[in-house]
Amino acid sequence: MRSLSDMVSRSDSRVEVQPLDDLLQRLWQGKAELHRRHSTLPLPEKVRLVMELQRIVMPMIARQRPLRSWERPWEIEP
Amino acid sequence: MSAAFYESKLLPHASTFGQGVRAGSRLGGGAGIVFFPVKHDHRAARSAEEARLAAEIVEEPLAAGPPPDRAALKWRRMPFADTLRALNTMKAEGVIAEYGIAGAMAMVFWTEPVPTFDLDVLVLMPPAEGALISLQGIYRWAESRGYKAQHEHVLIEGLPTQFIPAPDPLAREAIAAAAEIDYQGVVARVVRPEYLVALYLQPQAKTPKRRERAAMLLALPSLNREEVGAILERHGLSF
Repeated sequence: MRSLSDMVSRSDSRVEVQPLDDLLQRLWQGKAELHRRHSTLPLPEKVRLVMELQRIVMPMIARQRPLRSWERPWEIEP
Repeated sequence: MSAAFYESKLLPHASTFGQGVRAGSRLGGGAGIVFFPVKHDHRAARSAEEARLAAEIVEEPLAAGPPPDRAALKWRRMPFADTLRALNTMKAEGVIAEYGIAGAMAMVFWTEPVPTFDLDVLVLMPPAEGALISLQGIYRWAESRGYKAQHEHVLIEGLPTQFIPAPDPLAREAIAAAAEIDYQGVVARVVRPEYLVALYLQPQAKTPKRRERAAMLLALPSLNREEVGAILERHGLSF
């Protein structure tokens, strides 16, 4: 029976392994940067994003419960 | 049809919601069945009078001619700023005494966009006789402008808008302290983030979604934390 170490290919040793904390830290920083960028967008751009979110979440809500009459994507100009 | 046969539960598909005949037609906005009485006598299966009326109704929007190009069609979509302008008109005409945009759309003004389908507007109603607060004035004004009421919303320039009479001193204070923000040349009164946090922390409003929004606002570098603390203390609220 082969051991686990036998199943790892030699090339795997070249993969740079980072501590999980560092990786998570970079992910959180990336998310924080995305949130910051969205927060500072011009207002019409934010309204456009709201309309985009509506199109994304509407089918998700519809899978959980019947949609309410006003739960429709807006047909407006941001 | 929806109201007559399906307890208003039959709703249009997202792609057709808001469709209607507009340009110069007596059908007005929206879609559905419209009744026009036609007087005629001794007719059973055919009626020239009804046919004439049907032809007129079809001709009306056609007489306005086709839109010049697709850019013009795009222009006909109602701008968000028009909804804000309508709120200011309501105040100028005394329909409401004061207002402040609250809820998720207020968040959009201060932080990143969050999904929402309506515009929440906290309102102070003009002084009225008696202790009861009525939204009838708002509904009458909306009807006179051709804005349709949909359950608890009024469709203002294409946007489902919910008017919420300030229910307590915190809401009244939030309206009074609202910031005036320019949106494409229109001034909008928006409840400030310090008050939004407090409104979200009210016991009756403490849902997971609202707690999350309060947390988003609390992460704002520009938030005046001392003021948040003072507001919470003044209104007996806590995290």
